[in-house]
Order: sequence, then C-alpha cells, then structure tokens
Amino acid sequence: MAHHNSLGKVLSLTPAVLIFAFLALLPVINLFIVSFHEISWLGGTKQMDWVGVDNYVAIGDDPLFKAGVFNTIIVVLVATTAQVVIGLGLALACSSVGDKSRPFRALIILPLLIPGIVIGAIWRLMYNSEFGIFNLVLETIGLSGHDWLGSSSTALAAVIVVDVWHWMPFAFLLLLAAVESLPRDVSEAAKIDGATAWQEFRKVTLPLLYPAIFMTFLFRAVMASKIFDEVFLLTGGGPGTSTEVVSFTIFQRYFLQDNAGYGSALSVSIIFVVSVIIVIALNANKSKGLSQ
Amino acid sequence: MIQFKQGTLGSLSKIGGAAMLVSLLGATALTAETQVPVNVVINQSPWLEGFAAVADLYKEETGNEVTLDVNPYAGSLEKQRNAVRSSESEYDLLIINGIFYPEMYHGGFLEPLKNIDPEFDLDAQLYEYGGTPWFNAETKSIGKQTGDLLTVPVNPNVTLLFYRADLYEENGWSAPSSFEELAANARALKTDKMYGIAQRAGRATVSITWDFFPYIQGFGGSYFRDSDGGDYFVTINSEEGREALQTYVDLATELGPENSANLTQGDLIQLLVTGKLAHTVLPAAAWAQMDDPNKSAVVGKIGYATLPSEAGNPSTPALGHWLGGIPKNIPDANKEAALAFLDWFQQPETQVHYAELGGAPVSAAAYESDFAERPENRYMQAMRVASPLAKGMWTIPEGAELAAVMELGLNRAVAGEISVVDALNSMAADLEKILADAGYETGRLPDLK
Repeated sequence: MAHHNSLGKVLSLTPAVLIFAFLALLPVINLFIVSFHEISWLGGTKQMDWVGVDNYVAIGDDPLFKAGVFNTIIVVLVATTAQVVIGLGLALACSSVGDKSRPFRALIILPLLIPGIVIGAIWRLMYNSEFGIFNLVLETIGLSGHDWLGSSSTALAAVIVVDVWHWMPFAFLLLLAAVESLPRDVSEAAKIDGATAWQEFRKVTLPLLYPAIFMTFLFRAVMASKIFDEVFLLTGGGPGTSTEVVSFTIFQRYFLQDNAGYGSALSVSIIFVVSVIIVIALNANKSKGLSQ
Repeated sequence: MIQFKQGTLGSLSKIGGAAMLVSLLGATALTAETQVPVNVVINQSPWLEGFAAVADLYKEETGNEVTLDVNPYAGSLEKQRNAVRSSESEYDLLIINGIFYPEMYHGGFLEPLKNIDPEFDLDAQLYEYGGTPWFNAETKSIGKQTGDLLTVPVNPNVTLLFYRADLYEENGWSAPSSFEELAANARALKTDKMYGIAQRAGRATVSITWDFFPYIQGFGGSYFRDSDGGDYFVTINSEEGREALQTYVDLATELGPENSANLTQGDLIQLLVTGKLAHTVLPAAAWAQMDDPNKSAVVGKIGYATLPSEAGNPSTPALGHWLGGIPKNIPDANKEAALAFLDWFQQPETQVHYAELGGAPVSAAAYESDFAERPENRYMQAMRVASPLAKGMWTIPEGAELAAVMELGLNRAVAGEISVVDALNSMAADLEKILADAGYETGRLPDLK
C-alpha cells in the first residue's frame, strides 16, 4: 500500500518535472551541444561543424573574457557588500521607526521599479562631463570636473555606484522582512540584562539575521554576476577593458560577432562556475547551521 | 521627378485640370504600379532623416508605402541576421552596412536583383563603391565583371574632415593635407574652451577601426597586404602602422577631450555643433546637423575636406557605405515592391531630391548638379573629391570578428591601457588567428620591437 502511495506521488510529480525539463534544462542542454560546434551559413543554409573542445580551449586566450572575469568579481564583491550593508542599515532604521517610516520605504525601493534603460539615461546625464550634476557640484565648490565614465580610473567605480543604487532596495526589502520577523522577546531580554544598543545589535540582532544576510548576499551576488545593462548603456565595456564584464563579453562574442559556438561555450562556463559557487556557499552555510 | 513606368500621367498632365483628376482618382491609380508595402530595416544614423524624407517622397509620388524599422547599429544588424535566417523575412529591404555586407553575400541570403527583374541595372551615374554591389557566389569575390548584382548603394558614408572653416579663414589657412599640418592647426586652435581635435576611439561594433583606417592608409600602411585582391596577410603591425597609431593616440591625448577613449559619433557631433571642437572626422552625412540653426551654434562655419595623408600616399577615406539588398526568403510581390523602390531611389532626379532633403546621395548626378555648387552644400564638393579615393576595409564575412579585435586593441591604446607597439602586435596575432581558423592563407609581419 505504502509502495503504491509513493509511486503515486512520484507519478503526480511527472508533469511538473517534464515542464521543468522542457523550460529549464532543454535550453541549457541545447547551449551545451552548440558549444561544441562552429556555426556558419552558406547558401542560406546553416552549417554546424563539430569542433570538440576547441571553443572551451579558446576561452583561455580571450583577453576580453579575462578582463570580464576580473571586473565581474570586483563588481560582485564591492556592489553586493555595499548593497547588503546599506540595505541592512536602512532596514534596521525603518524597522525601529515603525509605521511612520512607510513613505521612506516607498522612496527607498523606487530605483528598483525604474526600467534599466531609464536608469542608463538618468546616470549618463548625471555623469556627463560637460553638464552632469556631479561636475556642476564640483565646479560650484571650486574643484575641476572629471569624466567619470570616460576615464579608466573611475569608469568601473561609476558603474558600481549605479548598480548599488539600482539594486540596494532589493537587499533592503529582503532584510526588512527579516528584521521585522525577529522575535522581540530576545531583544527585550537583552535590554533587561543591561545590554547597550551596540551590544544588542552585535550579540543578538546580527546573529539572528545571519541566515537572511547570507541569502541576501548570495541572491545579490548571483544577480550582480549577470550585470549587463548598466555596462551596455553607460560604457560599452570601455574605456579599454576597464568595465568589461562577462555578460558583455558573451553579448559581443555571441551576438555582435555572430559566433554562436564560442558564445555558447562562454555561457556554459559561466553557468557552471556560478552553479558551483552557489553549491559551495550553500553547503558552507549548511555546515555552519545557519540555514533556516 | 517622379518616375512613371506607364505613360498615363504624362498624357494627363497635358490636360487642364489634371490636378483635380489626380485628387479624384487618388495617387495610387496614377503611379507606375501599385506595390505591396515595403518594410525596411535600417539603422539610426546621421543620414536617417534624409532617407526617411525620401521614403515619404516615394509614397507621395507613387502612392506606395515604405515603412522604416529604425534601430541602433547593432540592433539593425541582429534583426537582419534573424530575418534572413528565418523561414520568411519580415523585412523586404535590408539596409546593410558596408562592413557587414560580405556576411550577407557569402551566406547566400540575398536575391540577385536580375532574378526579380532581368532588365534591372544600376543607373550609369550611380557610384559603384569598389564593385561592392556585385558578388560572384562561386568564386566568393566582389566585382562587377563576374558578379551578380545583389544590392543598390543607398548611402556613401565616406569619412570627411570636418573643421572650423571660419577659424581657418581668420588664420589664412587652407584645409590640411598632411597629418603634421592637421596636428599643428589643431594645436594652434586649442584653447580652454575648444578642443583642437577629437575622433572616435570608443569601443563599439565598428567605430575606431573605421576612423583609424585613413590614418594607417595615409601613412602608407594597411590592415592587410591587399584585401581588395584577396591577400589577407596581416600588416597592421608595420612601422607605418606604428607611426599612424602613435599619431592618432597623440592627437587624442594631447589635443582632445579627457574622455577621448570613450567618444562616440554623437559626442563628436555634439562637441562640434556647440562650438567646442575645431576638427573631427565624421561620415559626410553628419553635415546636415552642422547647419541646422535649431541644433547648431556653428551654422555656416564648418568646412569639409578629404582626409590628410603623408607625402606620397593618397588620402584614403574609409568606405563604410550602405547597400540595399532584398532577402531571398520573401514573397515575389514583396521582392518586386522592394526593387521598384530601389529603382526609383537610384534615378538621377531622386538622387538630387535626396540631397535636397538632407540625405547623402550615391549618384554623380547629385554631386555634379547645380545644387552641389551652392555654398550651403559645400560638403558635396568635398565628397566629389573623397568618393573616388574611398576604400573598403575588407570584403570577407569574418568582418565582425576582425573589427572586434581592432576595436579592442585600438581603444586600449588610446585609453593608455597598453602601448602602441603592444596593441599593434597583439592585434596582428589575433587577426592572423581569426583568418587562419577561417581557412585563409595568411600570416603577419614580425612583431614590432
């Protein structure tokens, strides 16, 4: 009887599994297959030539990809950390104020609702070396302006600032939900025991928030590793390779250069690396007993 | 003037009250043939307004509809690729860039125009742009002698030197003929409020690669030994190449804006029309924005000239012209409609109208017309000189990959990320690899030291 029950459960899952396989796995499998081919067109007909692992071998010699990996790591670490820290600070502040903070919450999440193309326009104007607001402010106080997006030394930082501005509200929302769901009695007990506000934060609030902070960081890190629109709209990967990121490299190789095989190999590699990092992070988190 | 294949209107025009009759019968009844609407995919360029206006004129004259799907450069290319590779193209006419047309030719995506109308041919006054409208599918070569006519030129897109003619006049100078002269003039005109010279150096689909081409050619070098003759031995890392790139970098860093390595065509136009730039290099079609009082603070002050070169080398503007091609995978009626539009477009009268409407004509009929002699159309006089000198960068379908290598290497050199020598050597190695992998007989010069 039990055997029949479990078989029934398995069978009942079959449609969902098939839909998942069709929608999620099939495209990835197709990408994987294409990554071992070179695709060209002759007489209006597609030619797929098997090239083995050549496309994967070529990744090691790709200067754009190398620069893209380096910059993407910087974006992931800096932007995600900034978003989580600022998001947590604002979440704690809003939670402590209570319902009166609602208008501020709406303002804080506003950037999340703005389309990427509009964000590109907003920040391109603000960064403009001739009439951007940053340079106008600098000039007002007697300092000389700077070309934020056109200079190799500041272009990546400028892109990171936009990413933090755009996605910090996401971290804020997740962390606000976590802060609001913290058990009040633990905090009250700490206060009764004479803990200062800082001690309460460090010894009580922060440990209780660790799982939420970890998951927020992980979510945002995965999303930041896919950064594309800010780079596409603001810098096009330049000057030089100073803002090249892996998604933009894939866009150029796959779409602009029409190199579907190599572009697929790059895509598969990125999917693999990000998946491995997620699995390692989740396991590390689990082993520390932090997951909830 | 209107091109009517049937003589109907010619007769009617002799009859009093024809205008009333026109309005009664409707324009379409009087045009050559009523065609299905032509859907055109085109990019957003400085010459778009002129092309859009001439498309409107076509509708006005013939009653036939032409709709434009306007996209950014890369977006237009992607839409064209998707269209020709699908079972049926949504576009009847592809406006293909002179950098990427080999991809369409070699892929076998375009209908030979004589298959649609055996009588069709290019108008005798139309520029042929190095024989690029013709392609021999068997020998994979460009040229009128053996190739099938696949496209009709729609825009010349030859680079010209744009300079402040008013300041030149004040100083008693004539347009620079050498890069040394250009640099000296740019240095002399540089002030706190004006950059001496700015050129595109930002990375894009094809940007700095195109703008640097006249430099390397002007110094006597080349990207490849003889691309027109099919010899793709890589020569970008020659001594001439080094001299040319060093000049390009020096001009950008010493006399240009701080963001030289990030400049786009739009930035250059903005700097020029706001009076902040003394020299730049732009496609001829950008002239239309120079004398528009609503957009420009330098109306009547911009002069045009073919690009400089060093003694003994010809001025060699980069040819980045646009060609109109008809996909194979559309119904016959759509092919005929697209060809009817191209046929009307290439006629001498239309080409003069195209110039009058702010477009960039492709026919000697326009450049040798009285219209070209007017002071406000002085760019056309420069075009008359530059057009026969213009040269294409390559004629093979690997252009997108070649351009990507050069966009990166040249941009990194201007941005100061790598030295001129490292940029040239690394580009040469990467170009050789692309060509070798694609099966070309290639090689490259020894690395520069």
